[in-house]
Amino acid sequence: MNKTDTIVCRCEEVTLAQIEEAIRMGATSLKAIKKITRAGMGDCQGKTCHRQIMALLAQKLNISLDQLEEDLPRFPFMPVPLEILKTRQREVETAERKGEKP
Amino acid sequence: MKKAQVIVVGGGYFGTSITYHLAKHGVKTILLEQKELASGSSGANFGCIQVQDAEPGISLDLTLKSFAMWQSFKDELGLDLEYRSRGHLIAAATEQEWENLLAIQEGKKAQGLKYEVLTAEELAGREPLLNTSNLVGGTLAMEAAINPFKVIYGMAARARELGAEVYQHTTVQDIATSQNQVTEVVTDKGLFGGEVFILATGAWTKKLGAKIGLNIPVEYIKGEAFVSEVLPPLVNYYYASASFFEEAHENTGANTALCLGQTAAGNILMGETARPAAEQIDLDTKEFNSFELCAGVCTEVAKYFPELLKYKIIRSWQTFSPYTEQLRPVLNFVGYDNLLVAAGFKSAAILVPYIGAEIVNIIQQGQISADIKEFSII
Repeated sequence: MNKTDTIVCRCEEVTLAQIEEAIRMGATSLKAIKKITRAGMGDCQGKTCHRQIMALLAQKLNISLDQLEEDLPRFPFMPVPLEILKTRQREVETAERKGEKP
Repeated sequence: MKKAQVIVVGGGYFGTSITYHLAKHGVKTILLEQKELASGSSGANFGCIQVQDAEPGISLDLTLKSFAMWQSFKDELGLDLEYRSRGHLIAAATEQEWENLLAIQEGKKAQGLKYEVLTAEELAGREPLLNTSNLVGGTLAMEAAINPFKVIYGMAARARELGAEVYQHTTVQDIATSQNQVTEVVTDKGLFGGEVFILATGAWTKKLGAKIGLNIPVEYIKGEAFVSEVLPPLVNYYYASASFFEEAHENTGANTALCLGQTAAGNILMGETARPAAEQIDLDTKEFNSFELCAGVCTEVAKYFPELLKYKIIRSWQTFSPYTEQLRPVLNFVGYDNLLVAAGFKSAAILVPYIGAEIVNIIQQGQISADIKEFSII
């Protein structure tokens, strides 16, 4: 990756230049880059770009990859309509009424 | 040992604001943050520049003062903080909530709080996706919203340019004292010494205070929220249920009152269930979202914003949000002559410019202003 207009995070359309700027602003972790640039905040939640960003961070900070903290995946892991959770809630309530384990 | 005139602990709204403002006034300052900036509740909130929920009295006075300061502060960093004006709607679902809400807000009028009183029919006209059939009415105040990350990272970046040093991933392990003075903080990255030490440590304040025999009464609740996919503008206001303000900071029982708002980027944030955490959950354990959140948010969204149920959620968060009994924040010297604490405010984002400026004032004058003396706790 050497062209600064290269898109690193496709969901949020974050460029290499923006990520490099975040590192200049003091980002020292994947989470920080996410917070500053929104890279990894889109529909795929960083499934593809996190690896590239980690590699870039390690290179720029001159440390090894395993010294960087991973960002744990967060619920619900893939985009789901809110109403699906509501359906699940009804299942649990019904099960509880019937005295079953949800 | 690294030295500065002021050592600030905590890289959230207050810690970065204090560091930036001190650096701007030429005070050599070091900021210590145990994880990365905005990793606590300052990075897990709705970015509300919130006026309407402030407690009557000195808290509301400072809130209104800080809201006025935001008008120039938003441009001061030379960065886009995503500041935008936004209405804040507090909606009452029962006659009792409505009566209480109107009484509380009426009491704040004399201090300068401006708001509109809207009936359920009027609310329907203002917020088209709001199902008002379960509501009695609401109060609406023009407030604002910012992007917390832009504000916090922006202040830290400017502070660095002005000479401040920011150490992230640096955990305070102990605090050394001698008679009535704090002398240095001991971290996993070495010793830091200074003339004045400031704890802007939110939910961690009590834990740190305990290291030097102080009982700083800042407790915490667990807050949770969902983030939707990016959507076109669907919601005009920041919506909060009146019951949230009645219950959110009570230390009893779970509360699933709804808060909902859309960010500048287009994500709809919805949450946040709040339940007392201090007794059950240690701050340093990894927490996950609860089944109560899923159930509570779904039920509430179905009731008040049924149109939104079809949209996808892509992420969730959970955080430990500081609060104090009787909603009395701590902004004062505590226990030691050179130890300042700024924590436990009900709404932190709005107070960013005020807290920074006030701490500069305290450092330069050597004493706190008369108007905040009542935030003294010890």
